[in-house]
Amino acid sequence: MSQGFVNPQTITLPVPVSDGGTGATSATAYAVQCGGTTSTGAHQSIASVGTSGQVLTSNGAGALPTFQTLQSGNIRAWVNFNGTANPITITGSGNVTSITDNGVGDYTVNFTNALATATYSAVATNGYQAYITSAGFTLTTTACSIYVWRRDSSNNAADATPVCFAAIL
Amino acid sequence: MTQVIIYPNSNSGVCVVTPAPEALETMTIEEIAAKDVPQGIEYKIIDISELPQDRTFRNAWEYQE
Repeated sequence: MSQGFVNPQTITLPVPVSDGGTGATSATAYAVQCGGTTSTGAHQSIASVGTSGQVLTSNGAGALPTFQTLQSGNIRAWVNFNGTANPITITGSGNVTSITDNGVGDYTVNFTNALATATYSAVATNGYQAYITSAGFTLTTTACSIYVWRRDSSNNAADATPVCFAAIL
Repeated sequence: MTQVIIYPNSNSGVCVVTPAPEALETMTIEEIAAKDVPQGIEYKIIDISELPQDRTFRNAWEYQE
């Protein structure tokens, strides 16, 4: 046998991890495979494939992760950006792919992963040097539009910075 | 971040999409454009140096094909 080739007649099934295999003879359909222990073998499956909408959650070192239902009241997306910059600059974010600048005081936060429902709570704080601003929202599962306007006699749309946004569900 | 995505909006203006640095760690700007630009709308990826220098007349910006 030349180097780099394996003679099929010499393979022992199941192929061990040390030879690039899994060491297992079968797998549970759709189950997540995890590293194993000396008692379980090289690989092991988690106990359940979960149900739609659940997330895989760590149970700490020494335990298999499990699918769990998301707890309510968590921040599903957040972003801090400068809405007066050109283009807008994003200081930090979570679950956000981009900000769309639609015009003066009109921004859309685009989520990386869609939220489970559009009935989340959107909150934003924003500021500007010369006046107080207020914000309104349009909510969808994939994005949230933020509208900022001046709270003075003009009541005009206004760019603001920093705009700090969070979607809570 | 040196590039942005632009596309025309329904008010004859232009939308400017700024990718999040977090997203650019795992996605290309082309992938972000495919995801965040409304379906069926023409868009361009441009260098930020091509944008107007200030936002004084931001709502008067127009999309040029």
